[in-house]
Amino acid sequence: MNGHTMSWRIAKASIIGTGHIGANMPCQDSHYVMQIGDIMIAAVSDGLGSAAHSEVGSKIASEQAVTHIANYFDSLKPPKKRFQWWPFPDKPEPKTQPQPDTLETVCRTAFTVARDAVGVRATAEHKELRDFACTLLVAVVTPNDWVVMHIGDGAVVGIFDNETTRTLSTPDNGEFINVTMPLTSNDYLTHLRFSHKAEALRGVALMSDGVQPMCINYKTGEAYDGFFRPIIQWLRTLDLADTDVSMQKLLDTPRFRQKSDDDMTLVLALRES
Amino acid sequence: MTNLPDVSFDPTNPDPRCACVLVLDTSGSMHGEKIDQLNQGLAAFRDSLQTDSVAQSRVEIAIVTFGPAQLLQDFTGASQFNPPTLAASGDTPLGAALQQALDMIAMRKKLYRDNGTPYYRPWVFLITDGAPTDNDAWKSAAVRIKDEESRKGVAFFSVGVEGADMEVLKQLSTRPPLPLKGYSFREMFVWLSASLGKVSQSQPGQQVPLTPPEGWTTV
Repeated sequence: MNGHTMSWRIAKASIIGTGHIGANMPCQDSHYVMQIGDIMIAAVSDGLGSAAHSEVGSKIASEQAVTHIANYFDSLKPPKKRFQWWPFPDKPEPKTQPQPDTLETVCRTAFTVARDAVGVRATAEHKELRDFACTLLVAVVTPNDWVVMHIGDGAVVGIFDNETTRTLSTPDNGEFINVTMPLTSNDYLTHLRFSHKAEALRGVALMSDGVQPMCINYKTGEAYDGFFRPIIQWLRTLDLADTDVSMQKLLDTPRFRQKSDDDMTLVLALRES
Repeated sequence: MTNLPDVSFDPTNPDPRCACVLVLDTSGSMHGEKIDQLNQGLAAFRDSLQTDSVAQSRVEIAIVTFGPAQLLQDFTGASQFNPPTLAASGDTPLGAALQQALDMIAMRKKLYRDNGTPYYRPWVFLITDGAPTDNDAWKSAAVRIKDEESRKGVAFFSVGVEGADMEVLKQLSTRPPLPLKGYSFREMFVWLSASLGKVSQSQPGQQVPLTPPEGWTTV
């Protein structure tokens, strides 16, 4: 980025599943990532196959949730020095330290904001909210702590020193593999799983359910190191301009395609050492 | 061209499973051409499943026959499924057979859960040409089926062969029974195989549009 040192090295891709191509469906997965200084905010959303416009729902939900949280961190920055005609600021200077309580509130509100934004689109198009049904996973990583929020399936994996991993949020399936609880359900807040921990992460991975079979143990929910370690090491070697294209190529390999014919999303974010 | 990393996948994750119990009437009234055609239909079912590589690794078939009500074959992967030849005799204890099928599904689901195997909604597929002879046992089975259906715990289908008491079949489930056209068991089983194949390839959250049953029923 033109000589700026970025704090994060990120590879991200959503690719359409072969099952969706065959059924003439669009890619219903979406993802969205923002960096505010050394803070990274990422979302992955999987539009439900049974909902007619879920690819729109997943796009709006992931963008709105991340943007809402990013705006909060933006507001903490000291104001930019600029030339003023009037030497006295007319607004009080904002606080510069994130308050833990406020961070949690902002993160939770992000889900309501995301759902409302999907609702606005549904109303504008004279459609039902459930036509836009999607899951939503959000991870916020600051230098000292992380917040993970999750409704539906998919998973979030934390990356620690020496490329070790630990699942931070496991998939929430219904009784059957083809049922999951969406953001658009009425009681979405009771299904929202929220974790906040004062723990430093080296990185984080977010995925839709299409990537789960490869790397999240069905029985224990544990992350599979044999999957993550090579990808982490690989991402560290990539030219920053190529990371997203490379991730897309990786997901599109026959081995991945054979394991899942669903849409696949993987967002991998590593702190630059 | 970028080199791709040499990743390995969690080897312990099993494929998702789709269980199907066939509940087949082998009472005396099925004797003769009906049972012969049913046996040929089962063979066609086996052959059809074997043309679908995904269904082969995901669909599991069990067979309960009546009467008397008995487990003829426990759950078998579609790739190993080889139906025994059925013979017709005895009465029609439909209620007992359905209860047994539902018990088997409950046990199978528990096994799936204990092993962390993801699974689709199991199917019960009933074929009969008569009326139940075990008094009102079918009524308590009907209550259980409707309860399971309302919780999406099971998908129940029934097919009435010539002579079947369609009124009883109607009361078993909210899904209407289908009358079999003549003895077209073969066409019916090919449809069943294709439908199970579709379910076993479906995506999470996706409702599976089944091919309308054509050529083997008069609906």
